[in-house]
Amino acid sequence: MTRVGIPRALTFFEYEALWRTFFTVLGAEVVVSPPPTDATLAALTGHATADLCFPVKVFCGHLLALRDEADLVFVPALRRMEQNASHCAKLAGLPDLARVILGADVPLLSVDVDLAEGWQGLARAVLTAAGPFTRHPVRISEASDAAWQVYQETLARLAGRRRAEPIKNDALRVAVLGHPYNLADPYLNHRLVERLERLGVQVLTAADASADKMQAGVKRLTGEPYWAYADHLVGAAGYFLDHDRADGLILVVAFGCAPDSGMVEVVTKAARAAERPVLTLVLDEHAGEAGTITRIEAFVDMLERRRGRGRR
Amino acid sequence: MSMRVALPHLGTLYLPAGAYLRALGVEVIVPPFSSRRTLDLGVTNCPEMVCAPCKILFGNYVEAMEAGVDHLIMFGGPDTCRLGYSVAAQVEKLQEMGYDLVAHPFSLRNVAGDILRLTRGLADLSPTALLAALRFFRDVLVLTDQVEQEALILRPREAERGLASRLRRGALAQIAALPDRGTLDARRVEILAPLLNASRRRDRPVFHVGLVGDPYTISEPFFNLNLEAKLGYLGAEVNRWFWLSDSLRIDPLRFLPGNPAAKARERTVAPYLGRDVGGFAQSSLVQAVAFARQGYDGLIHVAPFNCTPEIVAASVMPQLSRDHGIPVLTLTFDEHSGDAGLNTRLEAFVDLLERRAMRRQGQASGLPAHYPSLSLPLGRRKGAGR
Repeated sequence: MTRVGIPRALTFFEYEALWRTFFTVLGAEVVVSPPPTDATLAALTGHATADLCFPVKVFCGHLLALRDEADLVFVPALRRMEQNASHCAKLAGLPDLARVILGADVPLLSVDVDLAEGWQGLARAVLTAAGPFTRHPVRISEASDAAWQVYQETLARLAGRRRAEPIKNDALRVAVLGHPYNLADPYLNHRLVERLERLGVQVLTAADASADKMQAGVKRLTGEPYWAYADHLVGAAGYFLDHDRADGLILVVAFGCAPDSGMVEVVTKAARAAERPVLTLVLDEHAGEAGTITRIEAFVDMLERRRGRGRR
Repeated sequence: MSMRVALPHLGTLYLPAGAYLRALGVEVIVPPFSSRRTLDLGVTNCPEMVCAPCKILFGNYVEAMEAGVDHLIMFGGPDTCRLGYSVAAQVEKLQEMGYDLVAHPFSLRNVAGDILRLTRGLADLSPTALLAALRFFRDVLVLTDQVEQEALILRPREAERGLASRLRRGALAQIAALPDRGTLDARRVEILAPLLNASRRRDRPVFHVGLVGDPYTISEPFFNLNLEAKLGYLGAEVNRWFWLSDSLRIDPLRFLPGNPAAKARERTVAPYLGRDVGGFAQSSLVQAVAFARQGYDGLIHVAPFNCTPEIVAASVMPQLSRDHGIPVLTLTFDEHSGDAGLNTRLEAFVDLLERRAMRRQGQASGLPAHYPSLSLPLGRRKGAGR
């Protein structure tokens, strides 16, 4: 059985269910790289360009971890998931980065996804992804249908959890916003959500705002989306600020992130207009945990003091 | 209502763009050349994480507004470049600073289409007048690039240091004063002659270095700390991958069915960058491979710090360097760049080229060479291997 390796990083956190089902139905064994440690990153020394951002470096570390575990490493190149909203160049060029990291001897399964090209773009992506396993159209469509269904179920489960959790009235509510991979990987963000919850804060994330509410938020703050994660950052911020649902915002961004360089500014401006404090946590591979903890605690203290003054 | 138009600085773009806009009957203001003050204006007013080119451009906009402009041409790259997202914020910031302006965004990826869109926004001309203006623009652009190219060729060979830069400045000043296309035709030779006829020394080796990477960093000497001149003084003849006049040249192969020209370009870079990742990363790499195949001695890859598309290009550069046996130096620039560090690295790079050339020559003749001969014939920039 062919072992397909999937790095546990970047868009994996959004599409895990989709990819896993797709490859399993096609008869492959799916191997996901283990959660990262400092050793994951240390192994990269000498392999990656210094200027790559932290999440992409971690991705490259996962690639190295898969080198001997998989026959084929799955590396998608995501360009546009909707008209005009691009992922950054690193996500679009991921297979080219992966080839540099892995060298020529590990075969890559790279798939270009550009949904702005419409159904042809999607069909081409599905055919490429299935290429190493089968060319039979019926088997491919079975796999893609199953994958799509599981993916939709995951999304529905997320939405269900959103409705199920009541909003506690007395707790401070802090919206933690950022690219999904920055939030989903506790190694990247120093277990931010867990730490906030331990401080008694109710954490809101983009999962607490529905897709159309986030899109409305983007429309209101910047018009058309330009970057792929505009809804998760600008959109969710617009929603939480507009409906007075959050006492403060924490923006989690990677150092040097091109999309966030502009979007953080948009959100900060909107928050200032709505008189809500913002903490921008910049992630990089040098960050000590202690600095992050101090800043989170100071931010929560400040929110509590504001509330004490009756300026919720 | 008279309109006063300005555009930000991108090397010598102010010459052809100014000529074109004047031919359209628009009053053009050339903002002060980028300086420390320009950068400071940008650094003070832009978000921390936007790239240094965004900040310098914003400084250009402010200085243009101070000069009393009401229409502003603004650069924004589409796709995965952060410049495109910044334009709206920059307009907003200028308005916050109390300036009243009409913004004309201009993306550098589709030059021809943008020029037409810009023209429709600024002037209402008869087709013949428009065609005449476009021709003037093209001629000034080609002549300006010629002056730049001749200065790059002369600099490593100049008999006295600074001669090429002086002659270049003189030629550009003459181009700035050209009133129309007729005068340009009459004076073309006169403008180029001093650069072509300057006396050249032949007592030291000249290396051929290709400049690849981000077009803004390549074209703007204030930002790249006069990289081209520095290399020239060290004995390197520099050629850029990006000449604006090249983008006006129409490749007839483009119109054949299946676009074989594009296919061939894709094939050259497929081993390094198999997909367009936005910005100019892929086209720059196509030219990097071309430089290597033409027998250039080395490549210098430049990018603003944290430029997303160029980081991808920088990541695949080592592979390209190994495959083609060509040394590559990647330089990133930001608002903190300093002269001394750059000088050291350029000197070391040219030393390396020299050592490689000596070793190659020694092997070829069986004798140690005192210095390598010119690796390309004089005056040839593209084509012609050894």
